[in-house]
Amino acid sequence: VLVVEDDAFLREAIVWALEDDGLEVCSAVDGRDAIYRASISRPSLIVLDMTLPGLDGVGVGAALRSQFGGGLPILVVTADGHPRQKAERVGAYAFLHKPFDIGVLVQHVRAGLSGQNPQAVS
Amino acid sequence: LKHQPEDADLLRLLVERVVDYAIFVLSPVGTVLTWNQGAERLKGYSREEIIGQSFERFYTEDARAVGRPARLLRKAASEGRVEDEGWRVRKDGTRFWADVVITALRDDRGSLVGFAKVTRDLTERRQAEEDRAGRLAAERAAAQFERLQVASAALAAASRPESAAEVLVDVAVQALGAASGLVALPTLDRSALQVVAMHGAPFGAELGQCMPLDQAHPLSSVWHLRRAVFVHSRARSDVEHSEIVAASGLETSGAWAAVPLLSDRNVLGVIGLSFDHERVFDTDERSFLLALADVGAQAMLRARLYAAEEVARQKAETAERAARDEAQLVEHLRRVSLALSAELDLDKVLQTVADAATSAIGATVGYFAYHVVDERGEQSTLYVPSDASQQTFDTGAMQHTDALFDPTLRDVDRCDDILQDPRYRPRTTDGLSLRSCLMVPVISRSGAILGRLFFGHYQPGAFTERSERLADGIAAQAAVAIDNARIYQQVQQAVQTRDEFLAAAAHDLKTPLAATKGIAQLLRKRIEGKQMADSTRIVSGLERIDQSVDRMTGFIDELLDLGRLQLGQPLDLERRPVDVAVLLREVVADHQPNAPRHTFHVSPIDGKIVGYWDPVRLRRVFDNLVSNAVKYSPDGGEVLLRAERWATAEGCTAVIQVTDHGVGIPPADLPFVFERFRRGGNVAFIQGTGIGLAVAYSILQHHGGSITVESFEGKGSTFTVRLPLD
Repeated sequence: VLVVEDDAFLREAIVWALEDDGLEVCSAVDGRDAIYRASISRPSLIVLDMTLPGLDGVGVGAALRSQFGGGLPILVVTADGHPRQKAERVGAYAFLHKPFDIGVLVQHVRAGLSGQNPQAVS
Repeated sequence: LKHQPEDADLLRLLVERVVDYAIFVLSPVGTVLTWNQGAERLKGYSREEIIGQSFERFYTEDARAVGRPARLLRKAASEGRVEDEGWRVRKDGTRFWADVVITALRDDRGSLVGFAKVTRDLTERRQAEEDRAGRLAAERAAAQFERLQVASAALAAASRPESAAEVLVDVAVQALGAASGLVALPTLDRSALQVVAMHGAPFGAELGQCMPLDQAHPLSSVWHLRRAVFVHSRARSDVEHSEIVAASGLETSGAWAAVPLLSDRNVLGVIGLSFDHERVFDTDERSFLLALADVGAQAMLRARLYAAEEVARQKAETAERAARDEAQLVEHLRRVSLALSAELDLDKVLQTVADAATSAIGATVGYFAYHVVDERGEQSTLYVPSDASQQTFDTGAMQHTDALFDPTLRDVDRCDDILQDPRYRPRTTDGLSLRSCLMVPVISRSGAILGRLFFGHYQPGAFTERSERLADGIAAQAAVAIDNARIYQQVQQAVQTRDEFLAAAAHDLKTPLAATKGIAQLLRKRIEGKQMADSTRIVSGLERIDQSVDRMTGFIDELLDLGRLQLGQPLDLERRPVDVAVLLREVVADHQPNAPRHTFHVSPIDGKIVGYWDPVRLRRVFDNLVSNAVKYSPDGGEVLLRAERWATAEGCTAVIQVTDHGVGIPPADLPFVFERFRRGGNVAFIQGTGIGLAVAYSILQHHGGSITVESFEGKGSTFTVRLPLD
């Protein structure tokens, strides 16, 4: 799982929670970093913050889709208004509004990895 | 008398038997001496009754009273004979019209022995003559009456004094068979008579000519006399009106007549008639002319009243038209006002003004030349043509016509014919055929010129003083509408800025909240699952929570500072000794984990620059500067932080510079970098609240320090902070 989040503490907390759940996790601090990391580690799922310095979440999503195709599940995490629209634009299977329950995030990631859509975005 | 004896008998017989003539002899004193059968038949007296009686009884009482019988005898005696015609009286008192010849009879020595009197009864002839004369008089009276009637009818239809005058001249000339005629009316100041109608060229006058009333002339004389003057001929007039004729210098030898038009002793005008020959004006003619003058005077009065009424009516019409125009003007303004009152969008206001004004003014083309001053203070003109003008009027034409008028002019300006205007420079590139132009400045409440309304028309002189007033009214309404639209736009912008700020602020708070919440949940899970073996993770988690709360507190403090600054309140600095070099290293350490592509260089590495400052707020300043340096150099690179101690005449200063190699700040944005909510024109893709630098600026000001920036777009920026050391 690739965690893309510019806030160091939140990034660490998500990584920590997913690792505790037994997943293999890598992280990126901004859009550019995310595309670089994704190309190296070829993640099965991406947790994507929408508000990133430089290339923002929508841009990162578009870049990842062109690289890995539509099948790559993306879980959007955002503090903005209009999370649903943004999630739709990157083709995310679910979104979480900050501040979110870390346990719910883990559940969403698990569901995304097993192909279920716990909170489908149509 | 000498007769042959046989003749004497015949003669006596003739005298005695003639019955158609009364032939008798009177004594020298008028006693009847002889009588014949004719006399008896004519006068009714027998020979016996009348012989020896005075012949005076044959005369009427009136004739006898004036001594007419004796006078006739005297005349016959002195002249030999007298002939007379007149009424005579019969014995029964009845009258007959007699033709009488009295011849004086003298003897051989010439002494008067008596009178021979021959009388003939001409009553029948006389009657016939009288009948004929009566008939003629009646006919003439009827004709004149008819003329008067026709004249009256024609005069009644005359609505102006001039047309009444023409009727009078025609009727008078025709009725009296004059060679020429005129009617003259007094001028307004009553100093002269002016010829207003003429037939031929009487009295040497011309139509429209004024004859002063203080100069001698037949017409002015009649004006002053207030009665008619009839002159049969120059020669005969010597008696009655010699001075008038002499003074007038009239060359005609013929007769003339002048009759005043009198109304209540007021002379309203004069009719003058001139004849080629001498002539007598009989009673009928005189009375006809006087009657005509009466009718004419009435007509003049009526025409005058009518003319006065006409003037009043025209005045009323003019007033009504003016009122209607005014109402229309108000209606136009009302419509413009209505159209504008509902509009707050500036572009639509400009379009509405251009459309409504052009149609209200009735211009062929119209546009609004709106002064645009952008955020950076640069000026330009936005041309908004009215809907109707868009086809025919391009921007070039608008610029060209706009250049006619002084842009600083504060009053309406009108050009009735562009071709006569020295300001106009014809262009060869277009077929601009405007002739009339009208320009009105649109001036804001604040007195600033917002722009100009221009109107053009293809005909010269198309715009009037009324168009100016209308344009002025529309301009005033346009100014209010534009002011309102601008305020609305500013409010909209402020609301949008606030919304954007709130969204950014929410993001900045929610992310550390999410981290705190996440870490707290993880720690709880660990503690619940008794996974206490790895205590370092628990400790570092708690540290993270602590730090996150600090960050949020810092951010909230920043918002509170901003709020205080917005309200104009000073910041309460909590000064403590601070080593700025240490502070910079701490800030860099905070940012390094989030900036994998950036390398930070702090110099000097181990120097100590200690000042008496507010550490929390200064940390926020540098946190902002470093965060910006990272944020606005998305490609990574070096971020240089240099702290130095400068000694100047005023004292020691700490100078701290933060340099990045990022996108830089466009020159146009540079002056506004430290304003609230202001973000560079080239960084829309980077999230931010736009308050960091503004708050930093205020914090440094409160410390007695300053912050400046040097930047090149595409190369990077250097922020320089100066803080006093004491």
